[in-house]
Amino acid sequence: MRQRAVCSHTHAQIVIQPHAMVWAAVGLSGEDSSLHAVQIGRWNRPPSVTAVAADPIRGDERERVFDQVAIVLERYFAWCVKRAVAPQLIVTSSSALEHLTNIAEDYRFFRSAPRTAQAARDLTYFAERAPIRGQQAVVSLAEVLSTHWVTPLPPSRERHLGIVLACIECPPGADLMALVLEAERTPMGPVTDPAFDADQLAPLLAKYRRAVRRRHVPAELQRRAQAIREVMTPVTSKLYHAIQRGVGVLIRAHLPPLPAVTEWQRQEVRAFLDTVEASQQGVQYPINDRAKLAAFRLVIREDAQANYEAAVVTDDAFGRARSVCTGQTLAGITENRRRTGHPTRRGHVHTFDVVTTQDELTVRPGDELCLADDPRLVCVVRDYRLIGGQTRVGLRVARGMNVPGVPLDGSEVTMIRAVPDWHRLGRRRAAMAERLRVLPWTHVEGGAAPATDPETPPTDLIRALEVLK
Amino acid sequence: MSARMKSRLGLDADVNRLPGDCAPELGGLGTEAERADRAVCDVLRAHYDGVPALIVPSPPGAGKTDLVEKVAAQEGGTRRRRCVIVTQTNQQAFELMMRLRAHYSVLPIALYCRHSLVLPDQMVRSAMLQIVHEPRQLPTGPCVVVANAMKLALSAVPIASFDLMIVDEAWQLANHLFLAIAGLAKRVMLVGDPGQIAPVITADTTRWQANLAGPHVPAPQALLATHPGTAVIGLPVSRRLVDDSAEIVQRAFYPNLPFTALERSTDRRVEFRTLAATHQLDGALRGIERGQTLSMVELPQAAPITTDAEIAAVIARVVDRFVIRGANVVTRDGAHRVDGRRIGVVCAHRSQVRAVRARLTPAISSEVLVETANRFQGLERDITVVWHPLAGHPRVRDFHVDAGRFCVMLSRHRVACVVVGRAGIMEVLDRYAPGDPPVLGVDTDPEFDGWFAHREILEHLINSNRVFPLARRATT
Repeated sequence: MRQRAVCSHTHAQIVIQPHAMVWAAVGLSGEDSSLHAVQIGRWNRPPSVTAVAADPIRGDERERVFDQVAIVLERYFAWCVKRAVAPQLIVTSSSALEHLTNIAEDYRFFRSAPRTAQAARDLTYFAERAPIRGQQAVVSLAEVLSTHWVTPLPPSRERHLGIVLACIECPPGADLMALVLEAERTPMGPVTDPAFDADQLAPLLAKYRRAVRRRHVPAELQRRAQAIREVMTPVTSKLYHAIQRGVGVLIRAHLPPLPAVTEWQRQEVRAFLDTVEASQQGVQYPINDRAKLAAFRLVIREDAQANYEAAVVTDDAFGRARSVCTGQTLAGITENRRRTGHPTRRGHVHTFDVVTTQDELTVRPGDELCLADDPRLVCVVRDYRLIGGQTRVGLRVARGMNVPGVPLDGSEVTMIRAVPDWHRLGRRRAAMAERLRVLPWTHVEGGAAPATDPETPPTDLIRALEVLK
Repeated sequence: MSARMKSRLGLDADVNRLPGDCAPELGGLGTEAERADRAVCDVLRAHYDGVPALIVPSPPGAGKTDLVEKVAAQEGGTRRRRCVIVTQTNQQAFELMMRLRAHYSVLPIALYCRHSLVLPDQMVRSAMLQIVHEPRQLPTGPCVVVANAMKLALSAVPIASFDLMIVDEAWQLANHLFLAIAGLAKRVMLVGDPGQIAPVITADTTRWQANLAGPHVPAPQALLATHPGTAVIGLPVSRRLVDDSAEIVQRAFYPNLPFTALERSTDRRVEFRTLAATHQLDGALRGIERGQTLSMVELPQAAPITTDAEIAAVIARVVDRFVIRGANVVTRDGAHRVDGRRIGVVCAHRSQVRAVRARLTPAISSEVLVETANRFQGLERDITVVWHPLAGHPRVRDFHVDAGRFCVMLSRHRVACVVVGRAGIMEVLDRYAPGDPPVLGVDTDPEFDGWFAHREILEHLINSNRVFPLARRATT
C-alpha cells in the first residue's frame, strides 16, 4: 500500500488553545477506573507531573497520584477562571476519554479521600462536555485528526492515534502498511500491552504486593515501587509524545477555524464558568439524571449536533461538497421562475425549479431548504421529476422573496438544509424551564394522577358520534 | 422465544388492562369485526371513566387514526371538552385535520402551527378550518386542536389548557419531548404502533442506556416504566393485513401483542387479466395469485453495495409486471384495477428511492409511491415491493437489521408484498455475532430482536416455498 491520508476539510473544527493540557494516563488492565500512571503538562512543553502508583488498587498509593492530579487541575482551573477562558484537555483517543470518564464517575463521591474526589470532580467537567458536538473542552486527538484527514484505513483502525499519525506523516514513496503495522505495536489507549503486563508489570507488581504483605522495611518497598515506576513512566511518555506530535500536525496544517468555532468557544467559556459557580455553591453532577435534567441534557446534545452539521455544510467547502455528493444539499441551475397570485390571501406565490445532475438526492416534497449564499431565502420543495439524467426540483419560496429575492433563471444555486441557529437552544431551554416548573405526574416516579370524576357514558358510544358527522 | 424478545415492545404479557371497576370484557368470542369494534368502545368508555392515562398499542392497519378521530370527536363534540391531538410531523397534522373535517363536519377544529409553515392548497382553500399561530388565538371553549409535538413543546400554551391529550404515533415520540407537553392536559392517551421505527435521536444517549424511562425511549414505554399500572387497551384486529400476512408479521414483530386479520387472503386477492408469460418474474406473481401475500424474489449473490442497480431494476420490473398483466384486486365488494397509485415501493435508504424512481416506466413513475420505511409509516398501498434491507450487506448492522424498519416494510400492503433481495441473506444472519453486552437492568436488545425477526421471516418464506430465485437476465 503506497497511500497517505489527505486533508478533507478547508476549516478546522477545533482550535488548540495555547494553555491546553495534555493528559496521558493508563490504568491497570481489568480495572477500568484505576489510574496507574499519568503524565500531565501543557502542549509543546515537557510534562509538569509524572505520577505512578506502585499498586493503584491500594488506597494510599492511589491517593498519592490523585493528589498530584488535583493540584495541577485546581491550578489550571483557577488560572482559567481568572482569565475567563475555558480549559482544554487533550487525550489520545475516545478510549482514553472513556477511561477519564470512568475515573470521574467512580471517584467524585469519594468521601474518605477529598483530594481524590476533587480531582475526579474536575475531570467530570471534561467528561460532561465531551458528548456535545462542537465542544472545545476535550480534544480526542485520534478522532479530531481522522475527522480532518481521510485515511485509507477502516474507521476501526482510525481510533489508534499512532496509526492516524503514520497515515498523515507518511513520507512520499514509503510503504504505508509497514508504517501502520509498526505504529500499531505501541498501545495508545488507557491500558498497557498484554505482553508487557505478563512479562514485566505482573512480576514487579507481585513482588511489591508480597513485600507489602510481609511488612518489609520502607526502603525495600520504595525500591520495589521504584522498579514499577521505571517500567510505567515510558508507557505514559509515549502517549504524551504522541499527543504532542498530533497537535503539531494539526497546527502545521494551518486550517483556518470554522466561523462556528468562535461561537463554540464562547459557549465553552460560559459552560465552564457556570460549572465553577455551581461547584462553589455545592452543586454536584449526579450519577443518574432525573427526568427533567435528562431532558435538558438531551436537548443540549441534539441542538449541538444540529448546529455542528449545519456549520460544516455552511462554511466548509469540503463539507458542502460532501453534502452535495450524498444528496443532502441540492446544487443546480435555476429555471422556470414564476409568480402567481396567492389562492386565498393578497400577494403572490413565487416558485422556481432547480435542475440538477446529482446522482444521489434526498430531498422530498415538504422539505425546507435555504440558499447557501444567503440563507434568508427559504424554500419548500413542492415536487421533483426525473427527466433523463437530470432531476428537476420544484421549489416554492416561503421567505425572502423580496430580500434577497428569487434567483434569476440560469443562476447556479446551492440549497442547504439549515444554517446554525445559536439562539434556538436558549429559546428551547427557556420554554422548557417555564413549562417544567411543575413536573407533570406522568414523569414523577409513582406520581399520582389528578382525580377526575367518572361520567355515565351513552348506551351506544359509536352512535353518539354520528350526530357530529 | 427469548425473554428479551418478549419485552421488546415495552409491554408485559397483560396487554389489556384497566384499573379499578372499568376493566373491559376482554378476549371473548365473536367475529373479528365485533372484536375490533369492542376494543374501540372500550377505549371510548375509558374516557368517560376518567382514566388519567391510557396506552393503546396497535398493530399495523388496526384503525389507529380512525380511533383517534373518534376519541377526539367524543371529547370535543359529545362531551364538550377541550382536546389536543399531538402529531409527530406537520404532514401528519395536515392529514388528520382533513380527515377530521371530512368525517365530523360540526366539530370545532383548529390547527396550531408556526406562522411560516406552508400549508397544502387544499387546507388553505378550506374555509371550515381554523389555523392559529399563537396560544391566545386558540379556541376558548370545547374544541379539537391539532398540533405537532415540537410546536407545543416550544410554545407558551399554559399548563392544563386541555382536558385530554391524544398522542398519535406515540411510539415515535421521545420521552423528553413528551415531558415538555405532558402537563398541557389533565388526561393523556398514547396511541401508536409499538413495532415500528423508534424515535430518531441524533445525539449520543449512552448516558441513559440503563434508564428504562430515559429521555430517548418512546413515551409509552417510559410511562409504563414509571407507572406500571397505566391502563393499556390493545387493538386486536388488523384491517389492512390479510390473515396470511398478519400471522407472520405478528409472530416476528409483535410477540406480545396478539392480533388477527379482519379478512382472509381468499376474500381479498389479486387476479391477473393477462396470463403469465415466459418472464421469470411471473413465478413470483403466480404465488400471489395463489394467495401467498408475502413472497420474495431472490437475485444471485453479488458484491455488497447499498444502491444496487440490479435490485432497483428488478423492483421496477416487478411494478411493471403488475400493471402490464392487468392486476385486479378482488374483494367482497368487487374488483378494481391496480394502477400505479395502488403500488408502493419501500426502501431502506434515500439513495435506493431515487435509484428505483429513475428506473420506473415514465407512464407510472409519478403514480407509484417510492419512499423510505421512515416516510412510509402510517401509509398503505394494495401492493408493495420491498427492497430487502440486508440485500448487499456483508454483515448484520443495527440500522439494516432494525426490527422496526423491517416491520414497516412488511406491513404496508393490503393485498400483496414482494420482497426483492439477494441470495446469501440467511448466511449473513447465521454469521451474526451479538454486539455489545446487554446493559444491566435492560432486557431489550434491538439488534438481537431485529436479527430474530429477520430470521423468522426468512425461514417462513423458505419453508413455505415463497422464495423465487431469479437469474440476472430477469432485469432486462
